[in-house]
Amino acid sequence: MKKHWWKGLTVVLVLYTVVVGMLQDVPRLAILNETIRNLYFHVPMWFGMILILLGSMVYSIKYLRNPLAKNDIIAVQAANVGILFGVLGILTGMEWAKFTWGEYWSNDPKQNAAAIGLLIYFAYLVLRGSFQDHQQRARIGAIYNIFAFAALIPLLFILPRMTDSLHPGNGGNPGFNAYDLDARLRAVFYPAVLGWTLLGVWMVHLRARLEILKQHIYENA
Amino acid sequence: MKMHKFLLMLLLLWAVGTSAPVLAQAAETSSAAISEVGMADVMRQDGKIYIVVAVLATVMLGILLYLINLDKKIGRLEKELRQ
Repeated sequence: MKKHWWKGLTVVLVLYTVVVGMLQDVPRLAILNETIRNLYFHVPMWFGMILILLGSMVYSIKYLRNPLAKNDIIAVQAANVGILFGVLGILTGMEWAKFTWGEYWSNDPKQNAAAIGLLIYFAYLVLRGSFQDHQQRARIGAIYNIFAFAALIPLLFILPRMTDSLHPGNGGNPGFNAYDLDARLRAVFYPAVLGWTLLGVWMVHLRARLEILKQHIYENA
Repeated sequence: MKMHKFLLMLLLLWAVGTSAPVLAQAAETSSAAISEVGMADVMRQDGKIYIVVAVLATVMLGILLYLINLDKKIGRLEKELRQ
C-alpha cells in the first residue's frame, strides 16, 4: 500500500482541480471572462507533456548507457503519453482560441511551434516502427528521442518569445510572474500541474508494466 | 526510491508555500471585485453550476477508478507471472 500513495495524491489533486477550479472566484477580465478557468486544464497539458517527455528522454539516455529492455519500454510509453498530452493541449488550445482570439488557428508562433514539435514526436514513433530488429529500433529510437526533446525546448520556449505572439509571456505580453498571475489562480494552477502530470506518470507506469508483461509472455511462448 | 520521495516532498512543500498566503489573500479580495465584466453569476446564483461540477467530478472519478482498476489487474498479472 505504501507504494501507491502517489496515486492517491493524483486522485485528490485532479478532483481538487476540477471542483475548486470550477467553483472558486476568478479575476474578472474582459474577453477572457470565465474562460480563464481553462488555465487549470489547457496549460497543465503542456506542463505535463514537457515533464513526461523529459522523463522519456532521461530513460532514452539510461538505455544508451545500460541497454535494458525496461529502459526502452519506459522511454517509448512516456513518449506516447507525452504525445497524448500534447494533442490534448493543441485541441483545448484551439477551442479556447476560437472564443478569445477569434480563430481556431491564427498561425500564432507558439501554435505553429507546438504543431511542429508534435510532428517531430510523431516521426519518432514512425522511425521506431520502421526497424525490424529490436535492439536497432531501441538504440536509434533513443538517440532520436534525445534530439527530439532538444528541438522541443527552443520551439516552445525560445522561438515564440522572439516575435509577437498572442500567448501570455510572449512578445511583450504578460506571463507567469509574481505580478500578473493572480494569487487565486495560483492556488489551483500549481496543484493542477502536479495533479495532471502525476496522472500522466500513472498512465506511463501502467503502459510500461503492461508492455513488460507482454514481452515476458512472448519470450516464454 | 528515497530520492524520489525527497523530490516529491520538495515539490509539495513548494506548492503549499506558494498557495497558502494566496488563499488568505483570495478571501479578502473576492467580495470587493464585483465589476461590469460579464461573468457566469446568474448560473451560480441559480445553483446550476454545481450540477456541471458534479458531472465533471463524476467523469473524473470514473476515469480515476478505471485507472485504479486497471492498475490492480496488471498487478495481479505480474504476481501470477512471478509465480
